[in-house]
Amino acid sequence: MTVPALQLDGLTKRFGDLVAVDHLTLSVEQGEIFGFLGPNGAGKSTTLRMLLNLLRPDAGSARIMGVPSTDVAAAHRHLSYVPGDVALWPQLTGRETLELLGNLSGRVDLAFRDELVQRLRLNVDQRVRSYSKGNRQKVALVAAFMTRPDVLLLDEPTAGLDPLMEEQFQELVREAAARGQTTFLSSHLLSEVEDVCSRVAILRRGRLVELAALKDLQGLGTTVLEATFDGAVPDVSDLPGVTRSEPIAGGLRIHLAGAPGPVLARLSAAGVTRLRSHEPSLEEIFLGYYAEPAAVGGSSS
Amino acid sequence: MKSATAPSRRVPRPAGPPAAERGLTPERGVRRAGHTSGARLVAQLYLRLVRRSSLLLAVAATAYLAVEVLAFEAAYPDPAARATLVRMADNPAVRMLQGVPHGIENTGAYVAWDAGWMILTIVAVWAAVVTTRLLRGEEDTDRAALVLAGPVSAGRAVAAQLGVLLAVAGAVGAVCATAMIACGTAPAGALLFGAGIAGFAATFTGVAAVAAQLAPTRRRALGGTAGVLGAVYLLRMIAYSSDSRDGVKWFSPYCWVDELRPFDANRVAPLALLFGAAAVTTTIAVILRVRRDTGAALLRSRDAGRARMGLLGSPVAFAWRLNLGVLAGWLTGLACYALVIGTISPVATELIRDDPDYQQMLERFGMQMAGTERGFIAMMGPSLGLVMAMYACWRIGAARAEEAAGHVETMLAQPVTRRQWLGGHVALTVVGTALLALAAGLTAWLGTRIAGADVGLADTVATTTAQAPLVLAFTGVAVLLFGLVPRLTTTLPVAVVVMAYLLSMLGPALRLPDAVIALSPFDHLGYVPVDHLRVGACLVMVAGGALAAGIGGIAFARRDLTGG
Repeated sequence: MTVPALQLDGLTKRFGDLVAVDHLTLSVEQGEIFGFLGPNGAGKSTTLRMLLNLLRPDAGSARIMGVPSTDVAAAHRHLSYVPGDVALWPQLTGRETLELLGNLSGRVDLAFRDELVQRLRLNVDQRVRSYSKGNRQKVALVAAFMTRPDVLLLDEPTAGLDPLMEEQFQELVREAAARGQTTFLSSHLLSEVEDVCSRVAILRRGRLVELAALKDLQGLGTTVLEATFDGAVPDVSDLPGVTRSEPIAGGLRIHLAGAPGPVLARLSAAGVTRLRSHEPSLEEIFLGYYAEPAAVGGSSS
Repeated sequence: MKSATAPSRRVPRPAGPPAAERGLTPERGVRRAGHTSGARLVAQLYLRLVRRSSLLLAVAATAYLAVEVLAFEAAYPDPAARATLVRMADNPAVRMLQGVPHGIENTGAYVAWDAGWMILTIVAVWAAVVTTRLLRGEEDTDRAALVLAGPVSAGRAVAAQLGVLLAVAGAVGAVCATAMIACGTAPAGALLFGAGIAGFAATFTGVAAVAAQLAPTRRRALGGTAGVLGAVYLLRMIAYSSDSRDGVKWFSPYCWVDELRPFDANRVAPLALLFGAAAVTTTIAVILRVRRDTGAALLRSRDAGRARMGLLGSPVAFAWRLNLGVLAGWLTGLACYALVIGTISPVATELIRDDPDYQQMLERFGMQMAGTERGFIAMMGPSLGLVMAMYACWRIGAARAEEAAGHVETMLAQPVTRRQWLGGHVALTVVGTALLALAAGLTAWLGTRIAGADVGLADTVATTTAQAPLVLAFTGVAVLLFGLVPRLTTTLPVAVVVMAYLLSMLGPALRLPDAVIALSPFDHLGYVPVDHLRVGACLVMVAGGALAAGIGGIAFARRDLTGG
């Protein structure tokens, strides 16, 4: 049996009274694309920084490809990291930065580096101080992928990228997975994770609230109907199979777990003018896990 | 589909009723900032940003002045002692280093002459640091955009910033004047002295403000201002080196302050030069600011360039690459200073030849060493050691700056251990110190050659390298603080170095117990090459520094990385 790519065992971090990460235990297999989800302040970045030994856990431990995270020289030979806020030396050009980071990691695929620069459309002859946030992120992404690491630790890596580049990024992650590389992708952007991840963990206030394969996430079997009406909006919450219903502009959004017959009958009796249905997005599932009740109400108004 | 079903994300806030109708009145949380109050809010923000360093500056200046007054009155209690001081002090060597003494048998005049130039340098450095931080650093980090997105124009914002800085400069001058009056010196002289300090700080606020408009980064604006400060100090030296070059003094703000002659002639007119220069430079800065884009600079930097791939191979090589420019600055400054020391080294010997009483007088003050050129160089050794120790503290502070900026995170996410990274910075500090010592030894010797003094290269290099144990000890202190209290890494070690230097220089005059003075590493150096190198003391200093650095290294390895 192969060692897990990442093994977190009771990882805990406190900042004064605040428990930023609370006994986090999980394991990521090699070759997985693992989504690490949570709202701002849930402890995602703190967890990643503990994996990198930048922060010292107050309790628990972590292993990267079987190597204790505290053994930086050995563990970091297996990984690459893209921080959420990429801090680079402003006086270096992109090319110089890549040269430096490549030398430090000690294993660069130069041809792949050039390919990455082209695919992400990065101008490496600019100085870092003239780069936008997105361009700094591209430098960090090229630096992370060019070493072909066993494990990619990515902290909200596409926050500054445009949709075209985001697509390119997802492609890179899939290619890496196909080669057997592991990706640990932290995000609050659910769409980013939904499209590429096979398994997700959901973190809320430092605690793990869900750890499941994407297809097994609770609520994924439901259908969402959005109906708009000319006249009065009917009430469907008493019907069988309806797990949730909430008002939208001029109509209703209905989460339906069973057969649609009774609901459709009532909608058509009420004079539905427009009906759309879709699978629930991870976001809709996600909201159920961590949103405050007020926030759920607010988001649907 | 996705966008239709993602209600919590990127949904524009519904356009609600105006603030007042939503129940938000000025009393209930929304302050309505008009033009004037907008500028006032900006001023409050920037006052907050400079508050701590301003307080520190005022406290340090007050303490320094008080110690000077006490030391003078203890060392020269009676007219006879003061008369010898006056004779001893008025020679070209002392003039070049400290300025022309005027009526220094008076306590206030002595303090203004002996400590004035040092206080002026300190307030100018402070002005350069905070001015470039507010006027350029805030743009480097794009924080300025947050302020300028408010109802405040760039011109008003920079005026508010300069207003705060000039007000603080005035306050520091007032505090210095008050401290002098409290120490019992004449109020008129004290006020004039304080006004001179304020005017000098204001002038360099203006110079730094202009530099911040010209330079594309804060680092360069600061470097440029420091260059101007060094240049006007050199001009002062030239002006006082000979009567024939007296006219040069009108080009150096240092000399403008000297021309006030507080506690002596009490001239007010030179204040016009100081405050005039401040007014002109700040006005130019505001005009330049209004005419340029936010984030842009009048001197364009090349944002694209051919890559230079040297010194990118390892953490140590890269730290060396980052350090090179600033090290060159330190080397230039220290080498110039050592050259001047070498050049003026024969002055004391000439005086002794001309004046037989002078020898006796030097002996009475325990300064008989200054009677030879070698001895004079040896006596200046600790001041060279002071500069090298400050470099070492700055160097470790630069490592902390890398951490605060988040760069070290990028570095340590690679297979680079904390020990390798910090060890590299310590190694650089040692190498940089060695270079400084050798360069200073070389230029001091060149100076003695120019002056025709009888000093060998081995002598001057012995003087400068004998400071190394001291520098290593303070490097250890800086690393210790870096490990334990990272946020104080830049300021605290420098403060410790300066206090230790002052303790050994002023301690005897203040009649402090020997045991207290012995706390200062400067007290244990001996004046090499006139004295023998005190090997035991050197070993203790090096071992102590190594121990402190070791503890600091372990503490760093165990702590979290922290931001700014």
